[in-house]
Amino acid sequence: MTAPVLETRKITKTYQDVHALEDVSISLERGKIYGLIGQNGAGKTTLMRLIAGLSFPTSGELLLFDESSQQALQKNRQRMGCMIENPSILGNMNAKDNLHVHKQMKGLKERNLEQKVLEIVGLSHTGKKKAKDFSLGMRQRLGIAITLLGNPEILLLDEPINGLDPSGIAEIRQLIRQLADEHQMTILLSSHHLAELHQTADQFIIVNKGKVLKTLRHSELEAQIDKHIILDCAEPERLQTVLKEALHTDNFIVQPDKSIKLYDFIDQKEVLSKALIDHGIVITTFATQEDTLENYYLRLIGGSQ
Amino acid sequence: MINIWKADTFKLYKSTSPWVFIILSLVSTVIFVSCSHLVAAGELSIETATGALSLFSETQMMALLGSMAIGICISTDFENKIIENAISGGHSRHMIIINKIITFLLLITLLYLPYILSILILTFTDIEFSSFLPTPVLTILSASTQTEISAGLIGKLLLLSVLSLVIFISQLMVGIFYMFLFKKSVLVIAATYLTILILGPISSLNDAVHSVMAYTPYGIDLSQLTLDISSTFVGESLLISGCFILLLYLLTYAIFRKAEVK
Repeated sequence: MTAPVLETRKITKTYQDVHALEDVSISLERGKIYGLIGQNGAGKTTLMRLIAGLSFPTSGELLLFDESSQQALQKNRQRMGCMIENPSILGNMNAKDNLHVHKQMKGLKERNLEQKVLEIVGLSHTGKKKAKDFSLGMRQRLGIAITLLGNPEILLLDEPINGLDPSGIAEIRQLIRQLADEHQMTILLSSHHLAELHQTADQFIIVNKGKVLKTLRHSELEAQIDKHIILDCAEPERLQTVLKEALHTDNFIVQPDKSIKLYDFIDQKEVLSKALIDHGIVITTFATQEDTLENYYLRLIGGSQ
Repeated sequence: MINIWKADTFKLYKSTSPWVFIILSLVSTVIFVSCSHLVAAGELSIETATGALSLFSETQMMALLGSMAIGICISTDFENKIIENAISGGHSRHMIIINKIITFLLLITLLYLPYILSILILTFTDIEFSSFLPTPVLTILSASTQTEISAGLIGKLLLLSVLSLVIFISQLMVGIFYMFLFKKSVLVIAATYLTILILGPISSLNDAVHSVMAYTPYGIDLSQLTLDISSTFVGESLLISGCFILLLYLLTYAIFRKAEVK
């Protein structure tokens, strides 16, 4: 295991009497993508803001590249790129000029850097079009482009795929993956698109009500995701009765559309199928599925509430 | 250190608003100086000139355009997250304030430049000017055009121009404090303009108030900025303005040092 590039130790942030974050301890390794998951108000953005230096913890310690003094944190933030909430964009300028402003702020001298970064995020065609006329997706791409200036080692991206169309989401996913794999960037990514995070992140940090509920690797998540059988028929009530009385299981969930998620008989589908036929149940859907990250998250959150 | 400032100047160069303010300042200078000449030539009554036209005086225009420039050209950095990016990019809060002050100095100097240039250029003409309002520009112009050109006169004109600029800068410096306090352009413009508008007249309310306000740039008597200015007045004005700028910098740093940036 390599030394963490970013670490928080029992960080707490309190606003008056409200704990926005409570004893949050996370550790981020180089070249990994971390998916930060939580409801609105769970503390995701607060955590990112603390890391970015926009806010100060009430207690606890933040370490960037193994250093925790204020001076070191400030210096090491030069090795970070952040897009928290909305991107920092000047509406009256085009994409290239926007990048030029941030390039100058970072003291970067590389020629044509703006064009290079615009090509990476797919905005090289925007020319003189002002940023105020950009679509939400284009603004997000420009925000990501700004964070990429200076080849940062850590990227904090808060809802980076907001407003992107499906192809845009796929492109940004590919880009994020590429940055982590090829440039060894450590990326902390928050998103409400859990299916997207599931595909992108290497590890997951699940926060709820200011606390870290769980941190787990992709492989651990896969192991914890339950398989189930989806059953649907014209008589859902009778199907439930058969499952309970004939097959002696109540390990199932009735979904809003009345279909049933059955967590038993995964390896005994023939037994299940025969029993349903014997009881005259005409099944219209019979499929094996895995839970999604969303289901896992909802189960976890449900359990914590 | 100068990275933020370089980014700021690029932003100002690319924005329309600073140019609009400079053009407005230029137009006001032309109107104000023309009025002064017309009054001196007897073609315009003092009553008319001291009425609505007094709005174009440098004291009024610096308060108005200066407040707007701080609000629109500098304070929007909070709204468009430039300050947020500067912090997360590793710039210290102290450096951010210093850089914003440098940008502010540049902006206010550019706004006052038309008035300074009008003094420096028109002094070399035979055109008559009336000091129908006791503002530095008119007082200096009306006297300097009657005086023989010499190196001493030019030196004095430069000194008076720089001194009046420093006083205006120190008066408007409150806008930088408001910027880091309110973080909203509209509030910054309103608070800065009202502060200058109210504190100026208040300083002559009574002796007690005046004795306190005399230690602030709002209490400096601008009518004393004449060719006969005393070195004591120059020294005192520079000291008061300098201390006021330093005090406001310290107050700004105190409120921004540990502030949440949203």
